[in-house]
Amino acid sequence: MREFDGYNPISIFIYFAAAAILPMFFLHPLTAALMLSGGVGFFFSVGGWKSVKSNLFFMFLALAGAFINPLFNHNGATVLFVLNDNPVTLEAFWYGLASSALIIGGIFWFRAFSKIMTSDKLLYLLGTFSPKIALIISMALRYIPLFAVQAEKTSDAQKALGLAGDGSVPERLKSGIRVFSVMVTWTLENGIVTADSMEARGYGSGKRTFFSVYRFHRRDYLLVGTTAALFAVFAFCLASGAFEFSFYPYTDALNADWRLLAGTAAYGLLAFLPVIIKGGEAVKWRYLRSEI
Amino acid sequence: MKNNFWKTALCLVLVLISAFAGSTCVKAGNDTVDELDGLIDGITAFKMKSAGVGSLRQYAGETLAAEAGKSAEWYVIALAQSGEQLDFSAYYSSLKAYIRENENISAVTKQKLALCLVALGARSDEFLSSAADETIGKEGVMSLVFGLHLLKNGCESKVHTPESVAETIVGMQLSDGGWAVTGKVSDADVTAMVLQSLAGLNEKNAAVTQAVEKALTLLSEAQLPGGDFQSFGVPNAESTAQAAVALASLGIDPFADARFVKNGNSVLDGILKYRLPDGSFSHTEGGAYSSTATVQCLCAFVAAKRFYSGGEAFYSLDLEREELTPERGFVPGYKFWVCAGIGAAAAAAVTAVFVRGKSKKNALFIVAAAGICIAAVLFTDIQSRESYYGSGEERGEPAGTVTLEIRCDTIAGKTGEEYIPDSGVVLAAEEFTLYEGDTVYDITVAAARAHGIQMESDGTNYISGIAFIYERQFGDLSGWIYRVNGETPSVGCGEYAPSDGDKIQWIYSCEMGRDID
Repeated sequence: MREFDGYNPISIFIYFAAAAILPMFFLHPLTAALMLSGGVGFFFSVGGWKSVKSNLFFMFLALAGAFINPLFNHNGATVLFVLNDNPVTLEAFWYGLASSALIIGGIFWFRAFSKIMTSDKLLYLLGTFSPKIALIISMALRYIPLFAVQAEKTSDAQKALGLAGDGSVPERLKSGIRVFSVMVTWTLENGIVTADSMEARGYGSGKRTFFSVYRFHRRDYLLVGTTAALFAVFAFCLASGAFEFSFYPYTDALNADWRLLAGTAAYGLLAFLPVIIKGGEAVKWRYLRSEI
Repeated sequence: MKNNFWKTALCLVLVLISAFAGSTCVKAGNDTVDELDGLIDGITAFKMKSAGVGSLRQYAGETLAAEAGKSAEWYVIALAQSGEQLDFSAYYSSLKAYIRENENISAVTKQKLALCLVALGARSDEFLSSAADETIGKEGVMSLVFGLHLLKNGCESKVHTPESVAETIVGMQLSDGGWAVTGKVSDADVTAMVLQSLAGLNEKNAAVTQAVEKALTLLSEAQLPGGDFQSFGVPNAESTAQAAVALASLGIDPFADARFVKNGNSVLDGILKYRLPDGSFSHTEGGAYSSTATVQCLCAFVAAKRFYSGGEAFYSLDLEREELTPERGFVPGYKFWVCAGIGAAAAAAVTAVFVRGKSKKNALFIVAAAGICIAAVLFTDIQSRESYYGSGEERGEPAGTVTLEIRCDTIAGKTGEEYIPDSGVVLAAEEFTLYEGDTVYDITVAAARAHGIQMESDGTNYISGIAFIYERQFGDLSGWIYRVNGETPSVGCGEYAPSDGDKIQWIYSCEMGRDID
């Protein structure tokens, strides 16, 4: 099910850094679109289908960004209409759309990353440099799902006590605030309890060692090699200035420059690598089953 | 239209003939009326073209109706007085709606709107009587002048009579024979407008007659060799137009009377100096289109036409005119429909809550949310690009003029970007009307609006970008700074109140002002 899971944490990290970090430093509509679609594809390929609601929320956020930017930014030559003495421009809308695609794309990449990079992998990855930082990161990452689980438990307990009200929106808001207040107290208490528990188990009494069984397979070399090659093409095209794009005051037209096309193609392949790998594995699986 | 074409053609021929003959001032009355018709048609054709409408009927029914209360009033009065048979009922309805929606209308504006209502046939209503009772004398001489026009046109007041107001006005005459909004030096504009209001009263009252004679002598002396007049030291179209209206109203031939022909140049020649090829008028000679100048010239031509065709003064409104019945008491705008939509959706949701037996508190929540949405709709004001740019609004009493210039020499030609002018001039030095209480910020916004220049600001005090050129775009210390008469004030542009005649410059600096002379 989770094909990308089987890779060595180092190659996963290298892939992630190559695919998700560089496009965040510039704004080009093509890379923003690829980053968003690649991130969504990656997230779904690692099993993110479950919660449709939260995914819809992120999509809504992306659209909202496109509509909110023109309200605060009045640059741009194509005035659509004038709102309270401020021009609302088409260029600001495009800029908002591109930048929110980039932001939401980034969020999806990190969501997918945190799904794959479980705490043991993170410990393996960072353990050699600084076991302490690795521990802190893994504890912090663990805290978020833990908080959600505990909040659910508290809310269930409140319902059982008859404090949830009649289910109307104001009542639900009220009980939500109550649960949140409980959670703040619980968080503080949990911190102390965790610290005590760790101390009792001997944390901090000496240098930490760790053990892991990750090995560098042939497919890891393949992944890192492909990533490096695609990244090199992308970075070369980027450095040559093909991805320079200005939104204001006139949004540039996309011209078919070969470096832009090559760079976009390379980044497109890179961003969709997890989806391609998953597709390949699915084909292989079908083939193997048909052989039985 | 065909008729107009022949009129225009005839007018052109007449102008050519008169130019070749070298005679500029003396024309037979009938020819002058034809020429005035041509000039009036030129202005209306220009306005119709810029509003994108095909006929004068459409212009009166749609364009002017849409601008009711904002900029349409003088056009309506001028067109109503020109004898054109136009249907103003749409305008009348939206003006009534404007009056209902806006409570705090300043005294002079209130009088202007009331005059407009009377011109369209309104005889007695609450707004007219409050305009006659409460506004006269509230905002200086101007509110007396327009108040007097109202009283002379049948508006009844419990407090004032035309004679008492005329007496007050005569009492305000300066020693040089003229009038001014403030100060001891009379202004041609104000003097001419006072004369317009005193017209018709001068025969009955010796004091008024004397005052009018004195003022006419002053105006005659003030006329420039080109036939035009000046205000605040600047020869301009508006002052000249007002003088023409005043002369015509007093029964003096505005374009041929010997007292008002200088070097062979009549007042008409003075006005025509400001005419642009498209039929509109500029404020100063060689300047760009000015909406104020254009409409005031239209009034002048209409006033003169009435004089030559034996009609009454420009401000003698037709009291026989039947009152227009507003099409509907309430003209719903887009806001009404959006709010109605929100209300309907909220009502449907509330019904659903009750039908499905959910908690009543849900209904409360829905009503509150709908209330917030409606408030948000009511507080937003959406205008089209065309209606916003190129127009301006009065912000109170005029208090002189200031010159505004916007330059970006520091970065001109350095980037190759098309939107940065190579000459470094974003807006060449131009005069703008200064209204009372105006700050540099207000003037800049008005200038940018009039010229369609993009601008980004915090809304009150700080301007971060003009004409797509933004602060920090050319280094961390770059941005727009302003200077008044060459000095950089130490307060924000929203706090600096310029005075009459100031020269304001906006300059793009890359080093916090150190790189500009």
